[in-house]
Amino acid sequence: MSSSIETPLHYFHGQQTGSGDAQVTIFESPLCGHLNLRGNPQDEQFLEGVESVVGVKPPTTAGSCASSGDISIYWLGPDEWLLLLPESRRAEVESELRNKLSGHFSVVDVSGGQTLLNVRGDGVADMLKKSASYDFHSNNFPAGRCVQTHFAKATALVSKKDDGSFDLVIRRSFADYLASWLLDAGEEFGCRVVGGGEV
Amino acid sequence: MLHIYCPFCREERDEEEFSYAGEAHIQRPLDPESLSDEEWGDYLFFRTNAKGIHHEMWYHIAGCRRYFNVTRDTLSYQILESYLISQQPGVRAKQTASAEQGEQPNAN
Repeated sequence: MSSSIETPLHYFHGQQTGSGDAQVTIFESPLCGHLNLRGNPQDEQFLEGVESVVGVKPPTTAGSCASSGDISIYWLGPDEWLLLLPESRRAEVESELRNKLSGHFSVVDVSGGQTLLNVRGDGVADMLKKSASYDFHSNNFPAGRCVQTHFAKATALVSKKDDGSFDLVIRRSFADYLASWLLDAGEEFGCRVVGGGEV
Repeated sequence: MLHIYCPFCREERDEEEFSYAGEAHIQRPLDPESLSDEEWGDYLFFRTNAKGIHHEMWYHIAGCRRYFNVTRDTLSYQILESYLISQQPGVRAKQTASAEQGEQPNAN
């Protein structure tokens, strides 16, 4: 008998609200690695240590993100970042960071606590407006920005991608609630949840 | 709804993202053992309850999860500045006659 690990929203995959073609797509990524990284941004050794593993220095500008290859790094606070990476590289990157960094730092694997959604489509900006008071208009929130904010009374890390879609990192414990919320908010545009497959 | 400028996120966010964390600039006594019960009680429980300019801590709980200080007018709710915990406020209340006489509790 085989067992499989499923993403937090696997039972939502294929669900749709609204009639006609879905203009908004909520794509739940396959399981990926989430590492919470903390360290001193004034410490050049720390920044270079992270760069040697990840390929890019942790962004020190508030609310910005960077990526290198298949790893993305998001600013969470002045000394805190989130690394998103493929599940297959999670253990390797975590131990590499521990080897390369020294002094006062922390690396915590929070993969089991969150899930990554990508929302895209014509109505996506309007759908987000219903959910948060933050201004996600492209004048205020261009590609490469990320923000942690209240989202439908829960919290989310929202970032804008180069292709105009939005990435949402949400808590596993709120995933069911937020997926239901997003399907409801996207009903007028036609909204569909799709999944990235099971491991 | 207040709009509060977070000095770490470097932008104004809605009040709902923040949590009020009490009066700012209250220093823990260096040697608590040597305080009288009254002095310890003052430190723990008594606040200025200012009418007008007030320095207070806010916690950006839904954002960067950092504490910082805000100067707010408790009459108009106007927020005059946000600054780091390590800094001193740029806006201060005008000294009142009673404060100069030392009647205000916890006046440092």
